[in-house]
Amino acid sequence: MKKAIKLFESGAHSWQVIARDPELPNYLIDTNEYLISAGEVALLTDPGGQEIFPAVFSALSAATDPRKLTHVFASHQDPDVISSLALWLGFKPDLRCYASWLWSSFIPHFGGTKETFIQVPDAGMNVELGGLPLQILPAHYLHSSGNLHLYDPTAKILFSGDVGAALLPPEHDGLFVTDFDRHVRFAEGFHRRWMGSAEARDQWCELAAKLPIDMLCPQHGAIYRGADVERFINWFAELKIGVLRRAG
Amino acid sequence: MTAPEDHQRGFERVVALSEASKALLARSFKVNLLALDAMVQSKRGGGNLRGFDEVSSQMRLWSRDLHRDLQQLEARTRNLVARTSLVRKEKHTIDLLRAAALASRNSALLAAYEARGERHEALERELAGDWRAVREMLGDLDQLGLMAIVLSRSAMIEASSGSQAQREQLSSVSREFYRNSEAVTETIKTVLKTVDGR
Repeated sequence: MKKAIKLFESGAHSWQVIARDPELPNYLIDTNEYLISAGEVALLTDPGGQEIFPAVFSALSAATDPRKLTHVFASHQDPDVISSLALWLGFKPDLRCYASWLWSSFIPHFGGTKETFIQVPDAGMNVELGGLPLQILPAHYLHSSGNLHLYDPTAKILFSGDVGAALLPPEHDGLFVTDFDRHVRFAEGFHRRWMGSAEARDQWCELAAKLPIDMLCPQHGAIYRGADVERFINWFAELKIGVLRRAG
Repeated sequence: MTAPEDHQRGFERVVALSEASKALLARSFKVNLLALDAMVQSKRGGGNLRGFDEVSSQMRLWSRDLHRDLQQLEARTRNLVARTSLVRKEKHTIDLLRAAALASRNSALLAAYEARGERHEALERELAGDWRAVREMLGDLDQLGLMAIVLSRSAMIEASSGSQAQREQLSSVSREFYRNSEAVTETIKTVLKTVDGR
């Protein structure tokens, strides 16, 4: 089963990552879910696919009272991001889901009603979680055409969805990046293929470089800390993306 | 009760149990420390606190048993949370399959629905078995809780045999032990009611 690991804590404000399921079948991509708690309320980023709902729900319940969960955040519309929505709503029917307006009639195919969704405009928006300010940032075309990231200026943590993701082999699946040069080898193919727009990438890098970020937290792979955050932004800015490698 | 309400209620019950078992385990740490404190103080008191010494040893044993049993309850509760969420996931799929089978009246789909339904029923039976096991554990813990009341009262009586300074210290630790162990037993009774759906 997955486990919740604390990344940041300051009073009633915390970030936990729910990660690394040793029982996950190898045909499912491993995912990281991040739980942001602010007092008596909490938000879960990219709550995951339907198949991993039991693992995520169990880990979350061990770490906190799941009744505190008031919001989920969907960086985009992919099944590994939000196909568990109906199951979360079965637990908490009044849960609200932040998602790009672009997917407002697509994600409900996984579950939810009109009232479930808070449509986020293309420019992003500022929101509050129990008084804690959070910023939903645009990251369109990285990789989805309606793509969002979530920044916590107090904790200086950026949830970056698929940006920064890496497909790690089991022998290199540590929670944090410890050897940047080795790590990006596992991130390179993913970014070249999944990230289709150099213009969007440049805009994102410009935006991210201006933010004070202590941790860059992707939905797959390891978390970047400290100087590795800047290293990643610089590496990504230089990477040739939107490349389909020819077979054979 | 509609299917979504039933779904939500199943979660509510297991989450209430999970939160209570976490709180109980945290409280039992404190009870354990208080029992240890009582034992240390009685040893310091020497021969004139023989009665309190005996009771505090019993308190220590009791609190160890309590902590061990609560650890087991918490582990079992975690399994129950995992199985409940698995059952809910299966139920979601089955409800969709059922709707499709009924709408299409396709025999292959109906057969698939029935096969999946059998698997789901087996999971539901396992879940019911888990709940029965948790109910039994809580019943045993409830009985264990009665012992704490007896021990605390005995400790308060035995505390009066020491010097004035000792009496104050021992009474204080006995009262604290009583207060915390009573909170544990009250919580267990509340959880029992939740589990029984009362």
